[in-house]
Amino acid sequence: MNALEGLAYGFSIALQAQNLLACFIGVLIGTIVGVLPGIGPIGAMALLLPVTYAMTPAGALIMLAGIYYGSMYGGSTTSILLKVPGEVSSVITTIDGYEMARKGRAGAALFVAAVGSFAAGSVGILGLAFLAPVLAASALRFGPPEFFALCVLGLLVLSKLTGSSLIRAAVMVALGLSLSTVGMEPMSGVSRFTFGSLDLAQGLELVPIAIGLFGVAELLSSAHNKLTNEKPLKVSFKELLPTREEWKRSQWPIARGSVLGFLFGLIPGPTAIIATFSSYALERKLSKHPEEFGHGAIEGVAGPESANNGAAQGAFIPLLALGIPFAPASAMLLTALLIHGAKTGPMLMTESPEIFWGVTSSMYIGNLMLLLLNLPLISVFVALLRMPMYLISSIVVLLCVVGTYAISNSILDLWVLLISGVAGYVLRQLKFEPVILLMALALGPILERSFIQSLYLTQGDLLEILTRPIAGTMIFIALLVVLIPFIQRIYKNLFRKN
Amino acid sequence: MTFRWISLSTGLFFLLLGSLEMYLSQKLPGGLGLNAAEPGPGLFPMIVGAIMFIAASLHIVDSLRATPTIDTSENRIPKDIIYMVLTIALYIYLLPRAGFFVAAFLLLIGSLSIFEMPGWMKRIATASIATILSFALFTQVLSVKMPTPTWFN
Repeated sequence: MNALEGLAYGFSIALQAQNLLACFIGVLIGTIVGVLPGIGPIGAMALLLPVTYAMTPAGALIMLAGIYYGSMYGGSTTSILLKVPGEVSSVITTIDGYEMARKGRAGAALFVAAVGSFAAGSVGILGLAFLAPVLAASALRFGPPEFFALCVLGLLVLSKLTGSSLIRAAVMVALGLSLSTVGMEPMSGVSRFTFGSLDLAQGLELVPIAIGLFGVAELLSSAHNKLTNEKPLKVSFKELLPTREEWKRSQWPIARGSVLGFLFGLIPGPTAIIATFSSYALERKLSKHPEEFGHGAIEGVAGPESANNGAAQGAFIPLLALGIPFAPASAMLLTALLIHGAKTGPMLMTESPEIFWGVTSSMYIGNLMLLLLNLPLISVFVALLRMPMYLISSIVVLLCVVGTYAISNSILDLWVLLISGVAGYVLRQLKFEPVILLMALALGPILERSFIQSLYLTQGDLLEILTRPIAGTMIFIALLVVLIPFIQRIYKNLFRKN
Repeated sequence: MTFRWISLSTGLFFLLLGSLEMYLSQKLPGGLGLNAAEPGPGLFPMIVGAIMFIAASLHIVDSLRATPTIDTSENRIPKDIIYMVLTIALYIYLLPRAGFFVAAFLLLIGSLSIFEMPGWMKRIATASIATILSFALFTQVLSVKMPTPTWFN
């Protein structure tokens, strides 16, 4: 089926009552998660994973995807009204968004952010519908060496983009891959590092570790820092519409941010953040009034807010087309697919078209819901910010532990959750990036399987991988990613000496 | 304690972890399968252990070369974090033994106290209501099966 037929089929799935409800719940929770500082979309997705057991695979994915892109919408609210980013990808919006709010233009900033997110969402969905099938079709020709090379490239690029030093990133990759080797070895069935425990033979669950690293670690951090409620600036519904001038100035930044964000979403790593910073820099460069940036320029809100939503949509392509999660949120979605027994990778489109096209089409409906939800209900979401932090934090603690237990009714999962939480807190203090650990853990089984199969295929001569055009190119890019900083350093040193 | 020492200790910890993984990998049934055309179950963990070992060694070298700056922040682990960890650990310990109600109620009381909710009566009332509501939500709506408490059997 071609992209248009696929989208039509997808809408027939997404418009089913239970899937519409799943989409609504997803985007609503996503918006709330985005508005409230503390627990992020990954933690929320992990917490709600057990809830999806009673749903169809398509419904589960629709809801979890809704949480992800919904949080991108919600994150802008606190950035504009409080100067506190609800999500890391909304950090840049705090600069001009808050300045606009101080000048009484909070409504216009929120409106432009919502419209920009909607436009970016629409661009992303079209890109997903047309690009993912092409990518999946070519990925059907991928063999184990290509998947091995893709995983290596993904991990290396992610390590570079998180801003962590390469050595620290390598430690995190190794730790994540080590954890992924606990349990039954996929080829021979030999138990590894289980120390006689039957629970460990199944391997370590990704979800407790994700909730621990992001949910519990965040709670431990806020237990120490004691977040307090800030007073948000007031917004009345009358102020929501931007002036003609503001609207004119926002159109191109929205268009540019949408495309830029989508393209960034295709790259491994926390690209939503990078996309927002790039969009801000681009708009500042192209603006006729660069001096207004930092003092309430509407382009500084329109561009980055479109870019972060575009990146969120773009990140679905590697996941749905290749079965490779390039972002932590995609790893959670992959876990959901695996839990529901769906085929992942390029086969998803042919074996479970209702999931692929249903999720793709639901994003359009979800983005429309978000636009309708966010603007009239802005005062309701603002009211959430007045909820005492002690109540929010305590509810989150309870959700973390009960949600984790619900995954497989295992007490061991709860201990894993606690240990991961403490580890996540300590690692952040020591400037290690837990996102890399989580991604390595998620990619570990794929990487190991493709590595072992590649060894069989090449009779142990891994250098043969380099002779395969796709795999060779990916390995070459991976090497460049590692070597370029060293070459730059050597060049700089030589230049300084001369 | 300087940041350099903390960094060094971290490097040493990962160095030991990598060494342990390499040691355990070659002891696995089927071993490493060093004939690369027939890899054993220990090969991949051995490589991963080696990467950790090398990365940790480089981290140690980096830490030794860094200027020893004295960390002005408090080096002790904040009390609230220890209390929070202990509260969650108590919940995990009590859940299969005393059941969900006792475990969740104590978890909430602990958490509300750590996050400084004013007034003990308010804390008890909030914890009670939240425990009952969450029990109803998870067992009735989401069909989660809570463990049978062994202490009351």
